[in-house]
Amino acid sequence: MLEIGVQTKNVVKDKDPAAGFEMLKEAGFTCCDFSLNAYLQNMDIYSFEINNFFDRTPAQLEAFFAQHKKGAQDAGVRISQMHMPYPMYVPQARPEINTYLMKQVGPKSMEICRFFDCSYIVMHGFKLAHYLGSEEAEWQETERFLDTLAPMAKELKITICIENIYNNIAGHIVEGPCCDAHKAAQRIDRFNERYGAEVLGFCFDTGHANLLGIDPEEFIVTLGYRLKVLHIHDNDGIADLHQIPFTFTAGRENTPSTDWEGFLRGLAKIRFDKVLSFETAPVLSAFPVQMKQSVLHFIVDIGKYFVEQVHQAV
Amino acid sequence: MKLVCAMASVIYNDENPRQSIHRLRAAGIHEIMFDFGVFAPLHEILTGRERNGKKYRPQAKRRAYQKCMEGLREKDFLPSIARLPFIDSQMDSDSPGDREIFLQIQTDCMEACTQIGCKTIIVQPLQHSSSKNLWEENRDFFLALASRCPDSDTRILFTNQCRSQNGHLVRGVCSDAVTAAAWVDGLNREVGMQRFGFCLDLGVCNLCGQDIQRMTSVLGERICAVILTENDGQHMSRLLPFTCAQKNQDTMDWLGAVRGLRETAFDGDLILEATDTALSFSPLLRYELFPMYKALFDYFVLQINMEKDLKKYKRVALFGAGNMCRNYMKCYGEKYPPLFTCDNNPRLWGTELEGLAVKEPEALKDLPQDCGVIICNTYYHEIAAQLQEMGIQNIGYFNDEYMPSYYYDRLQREAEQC
Repeated sequence: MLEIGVQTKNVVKDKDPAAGFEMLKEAGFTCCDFSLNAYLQNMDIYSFEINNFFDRTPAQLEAFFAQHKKGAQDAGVRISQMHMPYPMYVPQARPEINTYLMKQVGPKSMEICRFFDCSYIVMHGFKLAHYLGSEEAEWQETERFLDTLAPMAKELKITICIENIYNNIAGHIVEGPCCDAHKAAQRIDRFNERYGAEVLGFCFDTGHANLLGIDPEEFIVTLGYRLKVLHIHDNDGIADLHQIPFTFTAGRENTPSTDWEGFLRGLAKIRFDKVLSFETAPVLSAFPVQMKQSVLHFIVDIGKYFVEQVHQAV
Repeated sequence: MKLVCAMASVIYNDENPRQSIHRLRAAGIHEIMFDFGVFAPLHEILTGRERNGKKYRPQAKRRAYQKCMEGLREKDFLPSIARLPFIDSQMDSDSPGDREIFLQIQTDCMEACTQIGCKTIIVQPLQHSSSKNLWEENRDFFLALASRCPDSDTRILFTNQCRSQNGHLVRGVCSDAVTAAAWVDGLNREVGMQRFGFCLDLGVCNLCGQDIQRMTSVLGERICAVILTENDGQHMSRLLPFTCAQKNQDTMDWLGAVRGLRETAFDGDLILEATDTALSFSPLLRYELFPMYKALFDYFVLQINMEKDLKKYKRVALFGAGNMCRNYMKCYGEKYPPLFTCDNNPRLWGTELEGLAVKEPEALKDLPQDCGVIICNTYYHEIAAQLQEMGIQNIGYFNDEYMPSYYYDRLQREAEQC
């Protein structure tokens, strides 16, 4: 059955996690995407400023997140997916940083995922095609990293989900890792066969697909059962804005410039039955705090509309 | 590689193309792509019909392009490549009436191509609003066009397209390389010969942020022509390469394009289309762009043919003992190992760089006949002149702007440590 979820970022705060989960419940969410990436932010990783959050032992991390887990349980909000910090490899960084990301941040993210009884964790593929000369060579490095986590994923019954992401050439967004659905499907199958378990899956990001003019229906249908997780958000086709669906238009008719119909048709075709998860944290910082609850309600309303459309089309 | 300019980028007076032809020849450009869309603009024809009930008059259109063809014939400048009229990707035209006119215009233009002996004809694939039977519809369309062109040597190429998602340009028909390759192969199977191929429009790839290297590697030898153009990634404009820049950096993935075309050893028609750039210049200045077009052609030929040129020689020696030499060794040192390198700087003579002996240029005189000298220094013209003066004929060029890969040995070392 389809459920509706949203990022915890900008809602669930460490000071009082229960209050945040209560807000999500009140808005009508039954699931959430735990923003683990907020604890080691990408801007910091890119500037080689690695904080000590992941220096904690697994027991210390569990203690840190105990209130989060309880808050979610009390509110009846399931942590259905989470986001690993990214990037997990920085070409320009000192080797110690990359080793730390690989040996500390990756495995501990998996531990936290298990602690939350969460089945899916999203990971960004390495962005190395520029250096290595091809997307194939780039994938080999991502796969090498995945190999370090896969045995743990199998044991903990977690599926690591690779996501369609992008590169940036002087402000112009272009394809990055995992933007070819055919290849992604083949690679996921091959990887899982190797481990004899569903340790690898896919997270389809609607916003990234829109930036790259990717046909969402075709992409989703090609992925089929390998699609486990969604990042639903909208943009103007130029920048990765993470806004609410149906926000953007590009013509005089003022009809949506993102192919939401195709997205929903794709989900219906593969009989997607997991979580419609919205990755719309920036919306919550854009609206006044007083409107946060209304905005969350509105996101749920869109989710309900999506559920209805998918069910009707099946 | 045939170097071709799109017609509207260089012919500014269709009725009298003499001045353009003269200036093109002076710049060293000898071929244009005839563009029927200039004479039969589908957007105008179809919207005029829809909005004002304007009737399409095929005779008038035929007269217009035939007159231009006559002008080109007089100057012995008839093109061997042509493009049939395209429908604007922003336009939603799918009525049966529109389709009928579209097909009539395509057929007319195809016949005109045959009359002037065009060897390559670029055609827009049909874009149906519903994707049902898209392949079947296109197959029938292309086979019908091919039947209008009795010369079996003539290649029919179709291109990657974008479509409008309510004003936002997204990937359209044949923008998926796997599908496009299957279409080319399917059509060739139908006719039992290599009659169909692909024209890769780099502008469309850029609009959809596509991985051009991956696209070219999938399509491979099916790519018979490439449209060399640039845009801002949002609007379908035809700009001169390297002009859509921000903060001193170009916004287009030329690295991917060059890597891809180099890997597939592209040797087809390279079509420069910079119509929006050209027409935005004052008529007094437009012709001044032609030498720049030529320089761009030379530049892209150098980049694309880099490895192909190395293969020409049994052995090579390098000229230059700096960073570019180091980069040569990184890229091609194993595959095409040089005998030695040389440099004009006497202080470097007798030293070693990347395991290569650095000698004085005089040492090049002792090279065997089948050996090439590869210049690894940006002073290409000066060094080439120096080599020619020494009687050396086999001169090649290496450039490290678009390397097949960049320094990344660390990754390997880290992998070994883990």
